[in-house]
Amino acid sequence: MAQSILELQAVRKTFGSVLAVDDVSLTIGTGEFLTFLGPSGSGKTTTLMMVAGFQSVSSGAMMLDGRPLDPLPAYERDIGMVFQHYALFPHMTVTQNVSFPLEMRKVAKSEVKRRVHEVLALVGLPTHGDRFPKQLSGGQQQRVALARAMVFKPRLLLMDEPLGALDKKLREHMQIEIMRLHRDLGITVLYVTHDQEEALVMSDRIAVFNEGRIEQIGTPDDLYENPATRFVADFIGESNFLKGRVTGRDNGLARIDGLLPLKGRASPGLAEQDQAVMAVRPERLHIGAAGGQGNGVENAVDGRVTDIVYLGQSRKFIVRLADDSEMTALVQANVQGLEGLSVGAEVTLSWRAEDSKVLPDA
Amino acid sequence: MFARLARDRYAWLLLPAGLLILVLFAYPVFWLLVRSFSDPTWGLQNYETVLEKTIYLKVLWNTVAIAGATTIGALVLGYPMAYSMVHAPPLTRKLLIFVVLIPFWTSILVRTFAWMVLLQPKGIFNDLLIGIGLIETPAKLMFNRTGVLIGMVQIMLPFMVFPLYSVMSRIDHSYVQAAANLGARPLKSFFRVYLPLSMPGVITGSMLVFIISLGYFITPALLGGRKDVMIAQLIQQQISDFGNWALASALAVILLVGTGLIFAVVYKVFKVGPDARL
Amino acid sequence: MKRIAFWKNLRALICLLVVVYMLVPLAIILIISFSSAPFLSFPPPGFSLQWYDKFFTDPSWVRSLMVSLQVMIPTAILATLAGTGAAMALTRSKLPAAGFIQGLLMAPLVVPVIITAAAVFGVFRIWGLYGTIPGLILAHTVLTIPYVLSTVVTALGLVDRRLEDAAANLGARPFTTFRRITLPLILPAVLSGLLFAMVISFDELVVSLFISTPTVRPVTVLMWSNIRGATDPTIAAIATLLFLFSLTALLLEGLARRKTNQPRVL
Repeated sequence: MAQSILELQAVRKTFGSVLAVDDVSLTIGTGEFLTFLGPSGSGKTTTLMMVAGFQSVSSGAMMLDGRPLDPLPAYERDIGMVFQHYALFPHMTVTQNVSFPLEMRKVAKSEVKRRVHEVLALVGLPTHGDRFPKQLSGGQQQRVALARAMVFKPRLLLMDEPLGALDKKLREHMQIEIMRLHRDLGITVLYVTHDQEEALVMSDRIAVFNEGRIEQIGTPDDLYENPATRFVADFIGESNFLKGRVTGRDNGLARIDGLLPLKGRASPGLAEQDQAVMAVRPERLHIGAAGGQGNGVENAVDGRVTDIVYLGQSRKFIVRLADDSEMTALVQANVQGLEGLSVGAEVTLSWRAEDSKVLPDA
Repeated sequence: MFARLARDRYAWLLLPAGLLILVLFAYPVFWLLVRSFSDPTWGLQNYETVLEKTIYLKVLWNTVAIAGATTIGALVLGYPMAYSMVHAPPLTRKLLIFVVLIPFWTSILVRTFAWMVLLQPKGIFNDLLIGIGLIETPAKLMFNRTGVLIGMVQIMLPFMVFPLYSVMSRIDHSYVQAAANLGARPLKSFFRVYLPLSMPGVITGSMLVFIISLGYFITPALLGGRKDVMIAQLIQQQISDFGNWALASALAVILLVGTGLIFAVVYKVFKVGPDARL
Repeated sequence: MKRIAFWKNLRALICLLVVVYMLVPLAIILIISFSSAPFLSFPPPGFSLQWYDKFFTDPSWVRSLMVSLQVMIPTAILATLAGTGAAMALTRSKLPAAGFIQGLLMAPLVVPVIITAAAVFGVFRIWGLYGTIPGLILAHTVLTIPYVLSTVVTALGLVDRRLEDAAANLGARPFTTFRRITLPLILPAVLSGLLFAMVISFDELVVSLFISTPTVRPVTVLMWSNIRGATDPTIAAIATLLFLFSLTALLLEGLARRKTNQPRVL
């Protein structure tokens, strides 16, 4: 990783007796796109607000470029921010909004003009300078907010659910634009979202927040393939969970005994006799008529199909097991040989040990 | 805590208004309050005077009676008015709001003067009544209770209409539809559903009108007769005409405490306060 | 259905009655003020501006008009500054007991005016402010601060706090944020507070009655002393002028608010 820009050391935030952020430590490298992902109330926005200087830190330290950030008021931090719902000044035109940070920095008038023009062209709004925010569409307001946050070339760009107010199509379009700007300009971005898909698409790394703590931090691929906790396995993508007790370990694999004996990749720190849960992704499940074993994989369970959901490019099979728990299997539409599987059919679900992960059951 | 406050720049902005109110309002009112107990000697003698003499008790009773009658009058006229405002088409609604609002912003003196012109024995109203043959000799419409109430209700009406309007406009029409769907006839659904839902407005409006009426001065002084003296008028007379601060201050404290008590009781019992208005 | 029609008609009738009841006295005043008759009569025999002429040429009326203006303008400015400042403090700082302080500042609106009048009269006599223009200004300021305060507090509550955060994030110091962001956004409310204060000061009678003397006497007090016995149409002319003044202020205030879609406070 490149040289680090922002470093959080054991940051905590309490509101009265409520612990909002607990022991958060992380570093962000130059040019990195790091996302805080988590459900609402998980502490991700509070952490962002502390970085921006709108909330004070209860304990711990924050360093920007090696200098402590805490003593600086918000207006001296030089950190750009795109607010939720943009916070564009309603009484100022686009140009006035974007000029504002430069005026505050006493940049010369001609230079202000040049840079505002440049940044508006960059976000694709070269001719909208005289409009007021109210006269712009949601997507255009979003671009103005981006332009205003970037125009003073901050060391770090914070984005707080910036796409939350846009519809799905526009959101996907803006995701690509933001990624392009990030790549082309080499800005360091700290992004907050509760949308796991958005986080997976955009980020270099993701920090998953839950109940004020970081559950896991890693690349999208890493989080998807190697979730460290049940929360992460559940929050990122979809997972089936099967409970059991660890009965043995070998070669990085763990055996658990629940409804049936199963085998999966062991997460570190798992000991024998621990209560554990096996996570397996719906698309890693193989579904076939009951009894038709044959693909020679480690794990198999029997059940009955209760629902079939057509999703266009794929189909979802909901299967009820003997203990009344449910599993979901996702099958691509072009997979052949499933014609006989209708609701009520007895089926066998099977998967390879390395496609599943055994996690401690919290 | 004070060190933190001193650093809080915005807190300093409270200082001018705070000082003005403390020195020019809170202190004088406190001074008046103290006088009621200390003039001419410490004791409760001033309150005893008020409560022992029939003329003063009569004034207290007048005050409550006139304020009560004003409240009822304003409610009877204000409720249908507010209901119509809520359920009228937009243009009519704007017009009705304008009608209620304009006199609200006209000086009370101006409006009371208008009533004097209208209601005097040789005034327009009497001319009209005689003209259409309803009466033969001029009716006494002024310098009595009738005059006071005609003037007071008109002045208080906005204070009744706006709380009612704000509560009624928040009543979801689907409740009334639900009542109809469940078989309630219109009148029944009004009394069982709409009226109870509009009660917060009725209570807030009535309390406002009653309390403001209690301390009223200009209208009763100009339109009322000798038998319609209210407490505020008595305070003014005692100070301006007789320099009797002892009695005036005791009356002022009675008015203040009475007003405060009504506020407190209504707030406690009905959980609504003046903040429920617009 | 007949019964419903009856109630509907009754409601319409009451509304009509209320409209007449609210407007007729004002209309009468307006008409009488242009009367050509030498005394109060209705309907007036003809049109004339004699009563307006009388108002603007009678030295005692003109003097009292000057007093009213001399009181109104400083009052409005003082109350607007103090009220806006207090509103900022109450909404933007972490004052302990902010609710109580706001209650205290609003008290002059809630306490019956006669009490304020008597109390202020009592101490002003001791302090030598009785019968002076500064005394009237100070008393009116106290009476008008609540109007400014409540209007501006409401407006500040509607200003999205993230806009102020955004300004800070973009490098604006607190005062710059106030000047460039907050103030422009609450300006309609501040102006409306100013207009409220002007109208209330100009119309104020009860407190003025106590603390003014024949030499320093606002228009309303002079009206009061002339109104009781005589029925001089000059009063109708003044009443019409007062009404036009309030109406203008009300319309201006509505205009200021429409520009920014601020809701009505009072």
